[in-house]
Amino acid sequence: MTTASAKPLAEQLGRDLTLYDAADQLFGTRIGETLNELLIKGLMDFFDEGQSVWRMPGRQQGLFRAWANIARRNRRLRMRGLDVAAILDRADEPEAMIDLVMTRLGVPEQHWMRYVTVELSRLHGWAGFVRWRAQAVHYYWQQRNPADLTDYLAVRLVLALALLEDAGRRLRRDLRWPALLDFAAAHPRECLLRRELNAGTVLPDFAHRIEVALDAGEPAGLDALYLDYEREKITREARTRARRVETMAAAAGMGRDALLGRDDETLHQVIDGVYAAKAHEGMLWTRSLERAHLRWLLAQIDAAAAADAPGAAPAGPMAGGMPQGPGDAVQALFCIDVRSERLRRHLEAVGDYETFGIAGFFGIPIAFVEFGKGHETALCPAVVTPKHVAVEMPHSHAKHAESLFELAHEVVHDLKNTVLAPYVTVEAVGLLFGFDMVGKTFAPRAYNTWRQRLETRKPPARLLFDKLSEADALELVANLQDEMVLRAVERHFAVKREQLTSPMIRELRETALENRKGQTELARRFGLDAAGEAVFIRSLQVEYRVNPDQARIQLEHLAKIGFRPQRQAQLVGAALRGIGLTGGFGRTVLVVGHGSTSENNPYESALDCGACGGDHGLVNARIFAAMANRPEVRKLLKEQGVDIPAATRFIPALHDTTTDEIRLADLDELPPALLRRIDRICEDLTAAGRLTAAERCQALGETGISGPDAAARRVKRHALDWTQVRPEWGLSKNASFVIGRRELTQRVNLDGRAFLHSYDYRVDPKGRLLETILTGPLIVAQWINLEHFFSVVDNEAFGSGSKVYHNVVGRFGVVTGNLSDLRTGLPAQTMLRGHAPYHQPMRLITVIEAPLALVEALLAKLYKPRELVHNGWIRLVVLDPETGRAQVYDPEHREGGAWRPQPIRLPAWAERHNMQAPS
Amino acid sequence: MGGLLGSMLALPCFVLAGLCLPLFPLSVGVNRLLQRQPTRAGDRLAQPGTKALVLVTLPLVGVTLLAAGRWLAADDGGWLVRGFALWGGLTSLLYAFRLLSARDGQIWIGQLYTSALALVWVGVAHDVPPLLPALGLALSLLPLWFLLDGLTRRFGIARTGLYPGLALRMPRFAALFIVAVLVAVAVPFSPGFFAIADLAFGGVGANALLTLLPLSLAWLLWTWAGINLLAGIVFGEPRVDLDYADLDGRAVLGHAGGMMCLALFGLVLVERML
Amino acid sequence: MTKAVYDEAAGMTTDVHGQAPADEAASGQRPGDGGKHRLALGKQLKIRSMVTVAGEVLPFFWPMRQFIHHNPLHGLEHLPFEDAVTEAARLFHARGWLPRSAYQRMLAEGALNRDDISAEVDAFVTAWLGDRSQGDAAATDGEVAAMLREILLAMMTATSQPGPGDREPCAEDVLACLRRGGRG
Repeated sequence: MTTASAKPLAEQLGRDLTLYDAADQLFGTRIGETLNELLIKGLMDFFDEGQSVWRMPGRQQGLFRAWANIARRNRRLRMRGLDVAAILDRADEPEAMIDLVMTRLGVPEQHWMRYVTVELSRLHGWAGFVRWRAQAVHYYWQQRNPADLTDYLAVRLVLALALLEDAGRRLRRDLRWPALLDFAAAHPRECLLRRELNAGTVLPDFAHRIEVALDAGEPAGLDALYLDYEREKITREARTRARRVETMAAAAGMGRDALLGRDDETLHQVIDGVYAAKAHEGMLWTRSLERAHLRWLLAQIDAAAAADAPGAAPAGPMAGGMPQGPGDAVQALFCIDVRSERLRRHLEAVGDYETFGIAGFFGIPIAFVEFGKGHETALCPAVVTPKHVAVEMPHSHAKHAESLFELAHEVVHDLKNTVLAPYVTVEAVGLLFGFDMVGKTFAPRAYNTWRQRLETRKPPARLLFDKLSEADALELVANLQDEMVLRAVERHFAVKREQLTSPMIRELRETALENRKGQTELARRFGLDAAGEAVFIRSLQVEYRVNPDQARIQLEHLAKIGFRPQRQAQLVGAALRGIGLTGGFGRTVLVVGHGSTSENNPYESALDCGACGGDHGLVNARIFAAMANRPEVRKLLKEQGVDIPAATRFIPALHDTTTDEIRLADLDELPPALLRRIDRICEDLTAAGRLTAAERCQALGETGISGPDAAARRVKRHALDWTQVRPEWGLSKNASFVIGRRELTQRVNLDGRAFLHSYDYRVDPKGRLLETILTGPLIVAQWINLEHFFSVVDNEAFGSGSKVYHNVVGRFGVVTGNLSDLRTGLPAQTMLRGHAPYHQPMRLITVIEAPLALVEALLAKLYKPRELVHNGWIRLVVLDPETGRAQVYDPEHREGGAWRPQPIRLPAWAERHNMQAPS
Repeated sequence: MGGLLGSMLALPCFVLAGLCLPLFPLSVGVNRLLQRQPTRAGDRLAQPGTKALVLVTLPLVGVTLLAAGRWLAADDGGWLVRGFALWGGLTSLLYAFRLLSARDGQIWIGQLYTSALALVWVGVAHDVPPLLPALGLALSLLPLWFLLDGLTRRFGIARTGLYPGLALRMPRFAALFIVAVLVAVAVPFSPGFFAIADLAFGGVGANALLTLLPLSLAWLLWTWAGINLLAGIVFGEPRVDLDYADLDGRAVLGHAGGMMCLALFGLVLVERML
Repeated sequence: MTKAVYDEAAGMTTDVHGQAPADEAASGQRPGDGGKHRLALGKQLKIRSMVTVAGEVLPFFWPMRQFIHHNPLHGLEHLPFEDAVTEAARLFHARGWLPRSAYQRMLAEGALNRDDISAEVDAFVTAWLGDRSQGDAAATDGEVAAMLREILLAMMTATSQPGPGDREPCAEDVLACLRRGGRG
């Protein structure tokens, strides 16, 4: 409930309070709560995405109409005294309903927009979801059951009007806007006393007196009481403040006498100053936190560069004493995710690995259709819309035989959803569930291994991302249509394939596609009359979708599949140049995407790769590696100035951030000569993974870890344990984003707190690659950082509270308890350790290693990064290699120049082989 | 004695008893007394200790008067006693309903007291000896009474909704408060529960609808009211502008000790029942 | 479409206690058939765009099957950070910063430095006194400044944070209580 403050009602109405909030505060009704309850029930029914077994009917008409149809007949609403049907009968369209309700409530039109903002902010989770759905035109459920903010607002206003009218009838008062304002104007003091009483901020010892006075309703008494009350409240607050000032002074070493010895003027100013500072206290703390971290980071970079000075032992692949040839190091491309930082550090320590950071989708935005799923998933950051489709095709087209186990599993789980079954089946079937539960709880690893053996594996599949030629596409569509024709003939006439010839099938297809007319061979052979034949052709067109429109749509979809070789080369080239890897390729380049594993975790996707739209990055890695391995792509890349030797092989891999295991993929496509090398790489990766797990176990507060082995086992258990509320910390404690060479941060232990994007400004004179980074990965990282910031400062309002009370609703979100606002943000278990915050809330400290002039030019050109930097949503630091200075941008103290320089040492610039700028 | 004269003499006894084992509208007096605020300094009648004494002694007086009345009426007073039993049952239900919307602590206890002791009449109609149940019901209210007094001393008034979230700020107090409320609403194993069980099943008319209906309904409404009281005081978000002072060790021992004694008394009641 | 444009398009008056428009034709309604309230297309679009603009401050919510980390204050990124946090705290009834005890714990653990806090406090005091005394340089170095700096540093690092009261007594009242020694 909103708390009353000393601001008058007239000011707050429509700005901070809705009409029913005001009524609740004045008259102690509970309209706001009831409204939210009724609305949430309706929303949960409408937005269900397959979780409930009894579905709401008529949802395809849109949110408002579907809800109205049900609400008109809802007897429970009528029993509460709400005459919703009468209101709904007055208008059909949501806009008309909004207009009707707002005029009936008497809200003046110039206040409508602000009033609507307040209304929408009440359940900002649900409203945010509706808002997203309204613009997600390709979302399957939105296409089936459309909803937008206007519908949502109309439903909300209808309920508000019904509740207000009902409350007005019961209290025998007019609760409309002009009436409430008049009441506030005529009885301001009574108004204030009422608000104090009902908003829960009243001084307890006055509560009874105020109640009695309000019941009596005598104005003089109320006035006197109000004056008493105000005086008392202000005095108490003043006394509290005085006490606190004394405490503060005492803590500063100033005793009471010393304090009171000053003159009034000084003390007056001090008191004002203290209370002015309190308003800014949060910002002061945040800036201090940022200062500390920034100083530490720059000092570390500086120290690392000093250690790297000529004469000192060189780091990186040249370490270890023996001079290595250019082809012996293994390069590995990781996502910029903070969790990759630990692994990269350990991997570099374990062997000769050169790691790079790149956005997790590897610069290839695709919409992916997984085998067996009927829809596209966008594997790219949310700010990007993919224009190409990639499809997964299994190696063999064998029919997917249902295993007995899977069938039984499905039946047993379906039984849970019927109403009467539990009464009957719990004795018989309950034991099976119990077995499952016991196994999963007490021995998750062993039980999981055993279960894996029973479940059928997905057939090995290959990714299709090359453009289909038109001939291929037409053939594909024709094959599909033939298949449809066959099925239709079999079903309608019980004629099997053996009795038909290919020309007959073709003829039927062409007739359905309206490419030919006349009697078909089928009709002649089987003695169909013209009418029967027409019916069959019609059925082919409508039921089996063998018609020209559908064919065109199918061709369009097929045209979106894949990339042309030029486009492939362009994407791979841009990605490699963007990270500064344009030469000196080793014989193996690992392309490592990341994902996570957890059980019983609605936030599973939050732990996956944000750059891949909340999915794991293996698909993008496989496509990137496959593209980069293609000879024709390499030929085109050579023209761009990126020379990949023929011996170099790109291998995709997946880093599971919960267990720190790295699994190489597409090994069946490798030439056998490489397999030995792969073994060694796998060993190195396992070792690095174990070291990372050991480090992470410390952060997770695990005890009894004797070494990396034990740590690896422990984190594996976390991934499989359905009772684990914190399988990993995820991106918590993220603090900075470093855009520059790996040499900058190679010797620095960033403790898994930094996003690292490789970048070499020398191959980017015009700043185009930096532009891509600033408008893509930087925005993603900023979103991640601020999501964590606000989820930790107020976990109940911006975050989603404790996972323990979450219930999944409609398969798309969680609510707390069984009826609450849709929870947004991250849960308490990810942000807090017990009650203390684990993530440190500060803005993303973005470090860019590039000349200041370049960065300033880009900021002047790009709108969004400029807005973020100038308004202080990220803290920007530019390490200028040409002047050897670190320029820190201070958004809160811009007068006199926002850039504050300080000297810094940067690592020496190694010569990259084949250092040509692109033409 | 007996006969018509006996019954007529018994009537004023019963009515006087109705002041102490409250029957509406005679209950108004008791409730006024229990809710009396101190009008001047040194107003002894309004002290919590005094009121606690009243809470305990009134039932005893009432039971004595009741016994006297029954002796006067002897066997012919059956219809009289049944009439009063009905009156008692209705009073109990009335006050139980009113209890649901009571927010002030003292009003709450007063109404619960009325509702509880009116049930004694219902038992009396079936020859249940009223002393122990009456005592059990009245004593069950004492722990809550003292804790409510504690709230009044800290915040100026004992009332739901004004200072929620006690469980977070005053955990010891909140724990004792929860137990006290449960004891007061005659949750199983409190003396009040055994008292009600006694009234319901202890007499010859056990299981009669007229006995069980008011008892169970009243009991149900009490638990609902108890939860309302808890929800408004113990649970919720604590206010940031108030000072919360928890109980110190001695006070905890005092309250806990009192509740222990009550538990023992409950055992005595059970003994008597069995 | 900003609020200003919308207001202009609607041709609003600035009457605070505005009455509901009584004239149906003027407000763009059509006489309804069967008593139903119907709007002209123009008015429908106006209401739609009003709702869209009003909703811009709300953060999107993606279905959790593909969780997208998103700035909850994305709709307020046109404001400076501190102002945006204040506005969001008002709009969503939330707290924009951690409670002081959490920061003090971070200070104890070493994530924060007293010197940094001190520097920030100094900067604040300089700016605030500078504003108050209209650029009179002497004030910012004087005794008030020094005292304020020490007291603020002590407040942040060594005292607990009280809940926000909903009354703002003026400094005179506080001073009076201070002088009275809490006995009034």
